[in-house]
Amino acid sequence: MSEHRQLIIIGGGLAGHAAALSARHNGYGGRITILAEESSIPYERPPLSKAVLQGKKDPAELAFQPNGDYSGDEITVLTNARAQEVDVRERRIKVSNGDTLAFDDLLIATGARPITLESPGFDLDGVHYLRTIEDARQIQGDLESAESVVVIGAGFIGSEAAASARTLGKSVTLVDMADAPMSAAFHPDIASVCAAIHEDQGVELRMNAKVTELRGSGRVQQAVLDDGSTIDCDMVIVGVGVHPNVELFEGSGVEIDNGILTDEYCRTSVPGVYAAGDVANWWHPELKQRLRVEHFDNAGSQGTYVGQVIAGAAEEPFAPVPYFWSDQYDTNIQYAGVASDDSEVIIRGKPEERSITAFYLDNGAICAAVTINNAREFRSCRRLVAARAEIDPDTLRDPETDIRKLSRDYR
Amino acid sequence: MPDPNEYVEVMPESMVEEGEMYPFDLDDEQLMLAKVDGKIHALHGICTHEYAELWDGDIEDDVIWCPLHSSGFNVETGEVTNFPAVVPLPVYDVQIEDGTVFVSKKPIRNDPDDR
Repeated sequence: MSEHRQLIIIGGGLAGHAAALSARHNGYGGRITILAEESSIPYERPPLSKAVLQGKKDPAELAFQPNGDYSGDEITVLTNARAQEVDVRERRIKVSNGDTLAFDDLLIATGARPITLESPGFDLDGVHYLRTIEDARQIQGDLESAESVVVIGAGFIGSEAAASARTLGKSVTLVDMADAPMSAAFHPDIASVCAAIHEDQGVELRMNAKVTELRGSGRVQQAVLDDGSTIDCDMVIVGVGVHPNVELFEGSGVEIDNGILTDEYCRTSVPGVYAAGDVANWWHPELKQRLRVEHFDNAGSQGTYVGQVIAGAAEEPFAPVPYFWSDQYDTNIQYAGVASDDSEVIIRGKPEERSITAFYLDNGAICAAVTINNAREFRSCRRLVAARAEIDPDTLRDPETDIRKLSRDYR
Repeated sequence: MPDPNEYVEVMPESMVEEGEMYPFDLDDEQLMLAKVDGKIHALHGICTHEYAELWDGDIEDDVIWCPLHSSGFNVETGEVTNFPAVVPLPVYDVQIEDGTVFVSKKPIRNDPDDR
């Protein structure tokens, strides 16, 4: 590989970090530069909604690179550096610090940003979104004096933020338009366990409800729901999903459709331009469908993979089993696979003790699995998903079945 | 027999089964044995990412998978193979004498004291 090539990575999240290291370790001999928009070098975001909000972890400890030092791998990380214009034909990027950088290879790892709500009062002080260290610092600061918190959106961020606020002893109301928390990710019989976990902890759930307005003088004091009821509060945390950051590439020639479109090698429609992480909508060659995954594990594995592609070292297409986890209170939740609305769901374990393993079956084959407070079984379940194992539903349902033993044949 | 100042006796070799992990205490630390392709390895038993007991996880090929967040560690080198962990797992020396597994009291790779 030529030592004169230049790889620029737009985005200082996990995908960008992983891709830079992977490209270097797989033999990329040219210059590698990461443009990171935030003031921090690439860092781990999952603790923001958990240990950081609870004041148990200093954000300064979250950097991926031990000691924050990339020099050993000859990787340059520019912080506070926002890509302002990209010309993929002339191979040039204008950066917010005034520089223009030339590239041969470009990785789009711009991630996603929280969807913001525009209803009345959402511009009041004390209304928060969570994506960055700075967001987490502000929420953590507000939580110190708040007594009552309204969380809007009961997906990953909302559920974890609610759990953190409740763990700190705050009075918490969790509001979502769905029937139960985590409903976008999980079948209703699994989501109902997530609901019970919040209720056990004393969170007030307001499902099938929408916040239509926030009220307060300068600072938020009350949330108004669509049934006319009101909830007094000192702060609001909104977690209603994210938008992929694609705007920089509109009209650039790079194809966009719900993210940056790529093939199964993470290559965009423009040669030498790649995408990975939350922003990438790639073709999964085994599932034969497009996926855009907004989770930590995908950013890491896709970043690592695209680094191999850029270094000319990838042999197989990118075809992972999608995976995510969530930690809420002392509950560990994990999921692997891709389910459809038609999947049959089999639940084993003890929902009343908030400990279950669930399998999704498509035409008799295991296509996804979930564990809640049952991490010991998770990797075994994942193996069955990866193998698309066809196992008799009665065997899966039978409490006597040892899933760890059963999965050994698929190791 | 290995020097008792440097090695600790763990368990009979015959009880260590392929693909399984066995926790044991060494002073205040929790370590584990893991047997892969007929070879017994000794590693630190707690994930370097967040507190998790790795022996409750799984072994596939030569990778140990954390039960909580799927960090991966190479069983031979302790190197990280999968995020979210970024710090490698300490690896200890294994000696087998007269059918008994002995493990070094100090890591031979990735010693946190060297960091």
